[in-house]
Amino acid sequence: MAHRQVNVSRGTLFFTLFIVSVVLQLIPHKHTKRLNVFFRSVFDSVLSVGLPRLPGVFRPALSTEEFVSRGEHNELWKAYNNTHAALIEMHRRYEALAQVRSRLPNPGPGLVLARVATSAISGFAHELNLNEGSAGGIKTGQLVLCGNRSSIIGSVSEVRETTATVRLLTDSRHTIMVAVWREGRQDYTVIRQMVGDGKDRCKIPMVSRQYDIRVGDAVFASAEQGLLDTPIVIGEVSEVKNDENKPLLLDITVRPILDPEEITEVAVIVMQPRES
Amino acid sequence: MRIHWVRFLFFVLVLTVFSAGNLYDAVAIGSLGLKPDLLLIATIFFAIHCATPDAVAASFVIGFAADLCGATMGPNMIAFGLLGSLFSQLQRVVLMKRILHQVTAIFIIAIAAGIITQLLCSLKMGQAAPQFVQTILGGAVYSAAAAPLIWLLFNTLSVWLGYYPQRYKRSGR
Repeated sequence: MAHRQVNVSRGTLFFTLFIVSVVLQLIPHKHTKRLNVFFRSVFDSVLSVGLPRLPGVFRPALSTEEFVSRGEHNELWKAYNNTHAALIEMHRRYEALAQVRSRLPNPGPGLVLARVATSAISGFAHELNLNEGSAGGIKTGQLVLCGNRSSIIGSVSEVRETTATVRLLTDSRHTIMVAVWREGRQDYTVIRQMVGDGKDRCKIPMVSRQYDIRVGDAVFASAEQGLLDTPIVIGEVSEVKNDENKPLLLDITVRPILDPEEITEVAVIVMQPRES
Repeated sequence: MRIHWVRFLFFVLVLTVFSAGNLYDAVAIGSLGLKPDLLLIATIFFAIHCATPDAVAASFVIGFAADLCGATMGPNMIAFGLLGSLFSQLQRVVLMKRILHQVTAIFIIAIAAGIITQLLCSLKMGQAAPQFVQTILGGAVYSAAAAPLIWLLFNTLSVWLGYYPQRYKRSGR
């Protein structure tokens, strides 16, 4: 069979391919990311062979304290704070019930369990790809719990029929309403929006210095209509200092209790509509 | 001899899937999860061993593959395409015969590619990657250190892909 050779000068070839790459660069990310999603969808079964983020060689060793008791401490800490959050919420409900006849009982949220197929932790994205999608009832914006359902780790950013992407709290594009609470107080100190810092922490911007916020205060995902009916713990305040650029505001850093390398299963909160 | 393109595309696909998969995370080191950049090493390998037109096309194709499994489309294709094409021109002048030369070349190009990619990613996504200096430097060192081993693997596949490695002679073209 005759083999037809197409002769193109290397200059033409270079400039053609260069223009193609520049066009790809100029097309907004919201359009080009479909190619990335398509690639991950097609090769999902191959990409997910092995555990996501297997322990690497030469990774820094954990300290004795963390190795032995940190996980258990975190679980107890989360359970303790979640109980307090539930208590505050129940108190509010009790007050409301005492004044007016309440609606029918809330059927409560449903949970969709999903396995983490792959994780994409880079400078630009902190995301997990799940093996459940819109077919399982998952929608964009829904909040996601860690495997043991004790803390919020992020929210659903994209949904396909059989897969979904979770943007973690530490992703710099992730925002969520949070409430800060200190042990011994009846109510939350402040409710504000929290954003990821792109590394392993989150920031609560625009908080006035008049609020009394200290290191160790618990941070909760705030209850939100259609997404969450009871606050659930996210992490704790790890640093509070004055904002260098805005002296009247605080610079609050939050340490979320999540380790992407440990997450192999998650639960997506699927709120069921209230019956009137 | 020219590259067997169908086999080459299959080879790049396998390399891309392996790079993006969970299994490859087993060699990640440090808290930054640094790994050797297989696709960058492949780009330099083909830039050295192929004729210039083939090397140019191969560089852009591998860059496109790196974008597919990366954060966004465009940055790697531009970086790999530019640097691969430039390096294929240099192969007439600089012979990459010794391992030390290859390792040095990969280290330098990994840094250049890292800087270009991070800049273009920042421009496109409107955010800067944290700790990008450590990521680029660490990735370049790890890629350069792992390159001789990966180079051996590529050499074994060379005839199947349609080219002869170790053509260390200056081209007169």
